[in-house]
Amino acid sequence: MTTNTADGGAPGAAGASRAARGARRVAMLAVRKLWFIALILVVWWLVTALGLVPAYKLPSPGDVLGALENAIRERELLGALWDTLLRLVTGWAIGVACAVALGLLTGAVPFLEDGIRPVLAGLQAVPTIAFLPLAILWFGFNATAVLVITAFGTFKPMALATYGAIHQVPPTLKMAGRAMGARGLFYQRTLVLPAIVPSLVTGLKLSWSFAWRSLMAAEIIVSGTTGLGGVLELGREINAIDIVMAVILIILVVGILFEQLVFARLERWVNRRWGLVGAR
Amino acid sequence: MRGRALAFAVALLALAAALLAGCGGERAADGDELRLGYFANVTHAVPIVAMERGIYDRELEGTKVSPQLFISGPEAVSSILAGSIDAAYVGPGPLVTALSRAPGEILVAAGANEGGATLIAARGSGIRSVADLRGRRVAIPAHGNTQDLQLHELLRRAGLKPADQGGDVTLVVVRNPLLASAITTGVVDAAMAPEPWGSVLVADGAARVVLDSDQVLDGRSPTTILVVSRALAERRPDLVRALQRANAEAVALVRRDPALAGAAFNRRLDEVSGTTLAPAVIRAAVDRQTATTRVDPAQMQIMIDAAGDAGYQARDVALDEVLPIRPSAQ
Repeated sequence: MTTNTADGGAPGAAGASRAARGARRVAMLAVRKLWFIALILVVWWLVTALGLVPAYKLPSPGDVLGALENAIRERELLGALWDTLLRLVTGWAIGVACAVALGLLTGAVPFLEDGIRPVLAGLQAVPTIAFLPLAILWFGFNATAVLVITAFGTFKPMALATYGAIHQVPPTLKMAGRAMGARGLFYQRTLVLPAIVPSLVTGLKLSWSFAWRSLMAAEIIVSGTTGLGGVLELGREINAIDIVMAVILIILVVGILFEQLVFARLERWVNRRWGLVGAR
Repeated sequence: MRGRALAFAVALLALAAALLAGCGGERAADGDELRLGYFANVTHAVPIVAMERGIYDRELEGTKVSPQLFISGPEAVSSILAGSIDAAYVGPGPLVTALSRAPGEILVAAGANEGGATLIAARGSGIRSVADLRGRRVAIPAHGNTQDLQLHELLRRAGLKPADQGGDVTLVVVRNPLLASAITTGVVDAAMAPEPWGSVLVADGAARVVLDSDQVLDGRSPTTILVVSRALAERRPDLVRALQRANAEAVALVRRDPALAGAAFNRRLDEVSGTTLAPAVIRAAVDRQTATTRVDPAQMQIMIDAAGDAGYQARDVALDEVLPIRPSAQ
């Protein structure tokens, strides 16, 4: 303590002004990032408050918040959210695991790649939800069909991202590995896999959003399953547009949270670990 | 610069709001076309017969009636609220839930049909009464539709509750055409089904009747009623009156000769899906219902109360909102 008093005054004042500058920067950043959202909310509120659109077509922001609270209390919305997230994470994990395994395998064997890659690229042209009727006939009108569709929706972009990543491994790196005698599984595990990680992260993000899309569409159609899609459909059936908008809000918030808390962190970690930060 | 950008953003949002306000376009029948919703169920025999016999075209002289097919009521009432159809035959269930959020936007013109709903259970499920539904999964055509509300009422009378309200009967939405596969694959153990779906599954041997249509709320529960949009009632009360006349005429026809309803339904089914039902199945389905222009107030109150108990209503709908408007009141 005492050692600091000699030069403690100046840094203290500098610290305070730095803190003030920091706070102002944060405030400015908040304004820059939030002004459009605030504008949407104000216009939305105005449109409903002035009665320009009937409430059964567009409920007010307050109504939507009320519906959200009500749905959490009376319709077990959090339970539905949990069911959906569980299904999303499970389906996504299955899809990613299959895609990376297939990508590595076929990436290592040109004969396999020549045959399989065009098929996958072709399948990419078919929206995953088009396979739902098939999944229902094979697995039943139930949660399994929804899970399969989610996994498949993940699999397609992830497999292509894995191929892409393998092809972006610098040839010099490959040559160096080979020159040092790396072969077969050892080569795949110690050279290819680490080299493709940064590109895989992009694939993970992309396939996550594809998984979400497939899952929501499937849940809305396969009505026996519990989940956010089911609540959306219920809202539509009973003409409760406030419930529908509340669920959309939840999906939005969950999406942002995952993006910020999971993928942004993962990306930062990978960039640091693979020394890619300075490259940008 | 920033001010101009902000103004642009505001203008964009205002445009979006304006589009929303106008969406669905209040293109209410203006003399040349009236868009009428109905389902391919036997419970909709009245509109099907009326279409086939050209009764609408005769009564609504000069206005073309364009029939639009729906699978269940919620879609039909949503379409009325969105302004994409002008009138529809629906059950009281979707009407009540829609009116609780959009008061006065839909008006009841007349009744068309009563009964026509059975509680069936998968063969071998061991379900012989409503009480046996405890712990089971029961199919409904849609949340908030008439069979859903009827089932809520039956469960309440048997001292049971749906799972989403803390009870132990799980209600599962299964679209009518998928009902057979849902019952045979065990996705559900029972179903509250509108005709002909109940009779079809019983004839197939896939299901047996637990409560026949005359035991479901005494068989007096309105299944099909003719509703019109407020816009149509305000702009063209003459068309609403013409619809009421056509409806009454078709009801009288079906009452006189129920077999006519079955035959007309089969022809319509053939048109929309390329299949027909066996004569015995059609007869059974037609026997389970009664064409009538009556809308029983006591039964409508049951529907309102059931929708309230189920948590489907945003506000309590008053009984007179779901009773037919008198022709003189238009």
